[in-house]
Amino acid sequence: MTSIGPARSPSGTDRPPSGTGPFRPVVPMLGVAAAVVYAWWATGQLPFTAAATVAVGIPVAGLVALAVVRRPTGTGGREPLRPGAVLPWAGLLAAAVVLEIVGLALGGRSSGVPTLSTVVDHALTWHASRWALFCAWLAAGAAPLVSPVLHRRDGVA
Amino acid sequence: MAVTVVWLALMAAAVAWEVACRRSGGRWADLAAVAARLWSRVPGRIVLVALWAFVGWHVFARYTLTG
Repeated sequence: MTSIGPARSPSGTDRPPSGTGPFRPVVPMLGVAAAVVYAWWATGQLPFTAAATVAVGIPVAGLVALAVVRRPTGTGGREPLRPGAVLPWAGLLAAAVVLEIVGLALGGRSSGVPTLSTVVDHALTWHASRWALFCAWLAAGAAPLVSPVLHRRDGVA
Repeated sequence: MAVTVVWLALMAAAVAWEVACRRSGGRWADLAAVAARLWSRVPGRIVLVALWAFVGWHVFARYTLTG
């Protein structure tokens, strides 16, 4: 009996042809392109204006909606993180918090002990660098949206 | 100036540690694993969304042009 279906991979597992079809890769690419264009517009707004706040607020509203629509599924069968596994991150965070508190205690704009945002401000001087950082910020926020897709692909493979 | 260097060193250390975690085969938790764990519970989601929103608002809507 001849079976008709997806081709078998060399390992013998059925694998649907990923990335095939004319439209599958187009949608994510259009999303990335739209985000890049949006980031350029958003970082062109003057700070401390309503337009700048709205430009940040739109993606935030999107993530809030995603957080509400996609209900938490628990740990999903994954093993809990060992406290020791996150200890270095806790150390880095603690060092950053201490520096930030000292910087804020000195007025927030001290050249001797700048806060993190004072340091980052230097990178925001140029539109291109603001745009790059905004894209990175959008990418971090899009992770919950993108990760399940990647996870499904991994699961299929 | 010295503290600026410390900030940059902390950022570099975070990036280096993230790379090391991803190469550790799960022995150490990378940021994605920590975020995924937080995202799986409602309080964690609130923390992540609030943190991300604050960073965006503070950095991109309330920045000060230097120079």
